[in-house]
Amino acid sequence: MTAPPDLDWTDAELIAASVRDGDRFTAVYDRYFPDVHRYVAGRLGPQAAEDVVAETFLAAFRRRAAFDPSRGTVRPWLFGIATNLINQHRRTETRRYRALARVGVDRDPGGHDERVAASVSAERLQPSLASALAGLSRKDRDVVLLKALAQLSHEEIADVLGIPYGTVGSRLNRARKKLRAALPTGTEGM
Amino acid sequence: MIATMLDEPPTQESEDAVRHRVLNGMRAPQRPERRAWRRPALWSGLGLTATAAAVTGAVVLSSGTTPRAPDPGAAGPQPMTAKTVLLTAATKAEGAPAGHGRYWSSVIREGGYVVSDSGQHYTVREIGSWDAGPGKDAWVAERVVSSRYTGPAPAGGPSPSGGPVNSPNRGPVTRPGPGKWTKSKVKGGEAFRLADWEGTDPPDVRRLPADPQALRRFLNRTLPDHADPAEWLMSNAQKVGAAPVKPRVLAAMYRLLAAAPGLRGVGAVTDPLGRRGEGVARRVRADGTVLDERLVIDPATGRLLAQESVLVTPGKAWAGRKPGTVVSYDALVSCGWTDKVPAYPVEKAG
Repeated sequence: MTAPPDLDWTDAELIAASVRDGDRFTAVYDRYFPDVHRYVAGRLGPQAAEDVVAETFLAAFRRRAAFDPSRGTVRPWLFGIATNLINQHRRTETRRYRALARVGVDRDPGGHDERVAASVSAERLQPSLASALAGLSRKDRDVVLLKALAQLSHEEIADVLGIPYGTVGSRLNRARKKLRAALPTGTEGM
Repeated sequence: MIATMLDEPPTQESEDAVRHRVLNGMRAPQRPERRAWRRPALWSGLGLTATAAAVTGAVVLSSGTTPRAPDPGAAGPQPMTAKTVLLTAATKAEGAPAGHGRYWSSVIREGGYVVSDSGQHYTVREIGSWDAGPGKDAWVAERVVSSRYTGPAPAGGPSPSGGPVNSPNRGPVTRPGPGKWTKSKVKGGEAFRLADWEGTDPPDVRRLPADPQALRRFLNRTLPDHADPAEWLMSNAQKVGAAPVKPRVLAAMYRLLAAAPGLRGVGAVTDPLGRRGEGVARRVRADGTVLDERLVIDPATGRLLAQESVLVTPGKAWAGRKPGTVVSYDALVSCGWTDKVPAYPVEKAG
């Protein structure tokens, strides 16, 4: 038996249908794998990401009957599970940022004209940005990366972390200040 | 900048392995979380092995490397499901560069049994098109690659598969080698429209929606009532694949097909040009003849390599042909944007 097309179903409908017919959950997986992977692999690196991404979806699958659409959408729910699992791998995460911080330390930008300078500037900033990320508190890092990697809204981040809406903004501001402080003056954007 | 620095796009192997693990985990009996957490290392290996086997066609997993208690769903090299092949292709196709140039060019090799007054031939031709768009110039070129007399025309009438168009061959001629290319100037814009649009106005392919749901709504709205979008997509996939559509439209087509019922993965296959790909098939029946309409997709690029009709049960129309025969095919030799039209001799009009 092949499942009927799932494209028109909302996330919540799919989850509800998957309680009776587990295969329906495949559509949820297919919808969110790229986003969840980008988030997890960004924080933990590609290897650990395989385990954590798979476990995120399996944990969601096991808890699907308890999913309550009135309390939020599927997206923050999945990112919440992923964030909890990532936090069990905090050492992997900081190791990753330290490794990224080492890359390019010995690199000499070399070129003289402005075009070359512009193209290497991102690489030159990487070490300071990566070590600044490693230095953030877990709470601040969750907020920054749910924003930068998962591209969640303030509201969704509040949902994921179970914190008030206003707290998302203040944590984000604090974290941005720390990250900017680590970058050379005059650098715009993160 | 953070997102760019941390970007780690999944490799094909890793994407397949994770999907495999999640699907198997979903189908496995519920177990305490602790144990489930410890299993992935084992599944990971199996997922990779199964995928590698599906891609290379190799039979692997000797008893020495088989884990002691393999998960029933994961053991053995099974072909990737149609859904996996198509969703993977969608992801790959989406990332393809759009390209640029004056002409959209495509070269397609089509082969198959052609029935004419003088008998049946297996004819292989190549058809190229260089099209600058509606109101601009365009060229088509053609050559016969080979043509082989295969016997008198069958009593059952013309081929049921709607194979290649009528051949100009007269008499039982077997052509030994490829003929020469000739080109002729035509009205621009044909390459930008999907011909044979089930009797309705062919739409401009540049207007096809890039979102799967919107594409489905578009097809439902545009196709006649009796047409099944999945069937239409299967039989027009090659046309869409060779048309100047945005990479995201091709991806949307794959996603729609992935959600369509009745498709199955057939594993690693070789297309008529000898290229390795993953096969996805849909079985069709007509008057005692059973055919597999098969798509061959390059897993590395998401490119649609070929579309084939493979005989399953000959029936009256293909009496005497062996099951497994490719009765007709369209294989994409090349396509993309270019500024140049090849300098083939121009065919005189009339």
